[in-house]
Amino acid sequence: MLVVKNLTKTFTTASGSVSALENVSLTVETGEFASIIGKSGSGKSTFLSMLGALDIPTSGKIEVDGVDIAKLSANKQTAYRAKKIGFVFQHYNLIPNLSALENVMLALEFGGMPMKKRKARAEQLLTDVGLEPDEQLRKPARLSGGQQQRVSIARAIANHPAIVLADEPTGNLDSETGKKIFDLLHRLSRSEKTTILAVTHDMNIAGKTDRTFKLKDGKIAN
Amino acid sequence: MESIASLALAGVIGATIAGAVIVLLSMIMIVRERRREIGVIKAIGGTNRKVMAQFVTEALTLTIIGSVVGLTLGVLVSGPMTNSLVSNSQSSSQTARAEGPGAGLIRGGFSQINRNITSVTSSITPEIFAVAIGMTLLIAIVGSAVPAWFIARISPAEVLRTE
Repeated sequence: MLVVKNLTKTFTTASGSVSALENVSLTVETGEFASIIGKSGSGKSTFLSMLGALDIPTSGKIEVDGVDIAKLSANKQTAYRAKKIGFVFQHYNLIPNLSALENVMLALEFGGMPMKKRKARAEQLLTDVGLEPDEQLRKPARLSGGQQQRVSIARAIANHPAIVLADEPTGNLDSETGKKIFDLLHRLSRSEKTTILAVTHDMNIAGKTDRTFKLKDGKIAN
Repeated sequence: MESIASLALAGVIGATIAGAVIVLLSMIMIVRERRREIGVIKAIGGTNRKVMAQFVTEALTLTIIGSVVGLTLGVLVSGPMTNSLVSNSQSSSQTARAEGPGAGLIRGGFSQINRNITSVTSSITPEIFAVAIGMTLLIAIVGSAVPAWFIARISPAEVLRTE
């Protein structure tokens, strides 16, 4: 379960301090597929950074399965990102020099899986998200946007994370491919009982998730 | 002879410094170009140590390939090049002797120079190999230390900020 309590993030700039998030509180149950909507600059990406332990909040709590991740040491936050969090980015962000299979195997390496088991697990994951064996050996540049996002999803769920954080997962895809990716994420949230939190502009997608939170000027709007 | 040896040593030191600077600049450029990739690796759970190890390995590979090519060329070219330089020096000293006034007085001095020049040879000993390997490692370490510091400072949050 994900519990966020009074989360605040303030950035200090030359012209003074700017509040990106202000007393944000929400709860997402395990296995729930939630979406966050909001305009550009509403604090969506900052919120995802905090949840993914990529940045430290100014104040407030983020509890994942009872552990406050804001209070973890830098090393423990890295381990948390490797094992408890899966990221799906709008621009896929696969490592360009590695094949689809190697991209997934890299995440498994960070998750601590023994070398011998990585290849079979990565192949299984890529097959599950719909990549053919020959496509699994291709570098990202030789895959379509939809295929790259499938690899990105396989990488995100590789270590059975508690939460998958998706930043505009369909933002770079055509509507038909976007729908397939959404269906894939929805299916995973059910079959793997993984909590998924997706930031999106697409109201069609947001409307189909279990719950939608709206961020406005760094606050949760009702 | 000693001055030739010290000139060669100065050349080696100069080449080492130049090599380290080239590797350093190349690695800084690589790290800057791959900033996003480093951010992604950190975001998915890669530690600073792992990313640094990857880049130090790349610097070492770059330096070792350069050293092997350089050493092979050095072994192949040093002999003929020394002979060519020696024969050029001999012919120029002979020209000077033919033109110089009072040749009888300085004939003995030119003969000595000729003997010295013809005794210049190039050789590769295990010690020279050891020094070359030491220089290679020094170049790789210096060349990747600063980029490693840059890597440690890249925040994984940049991946989301630049989305």
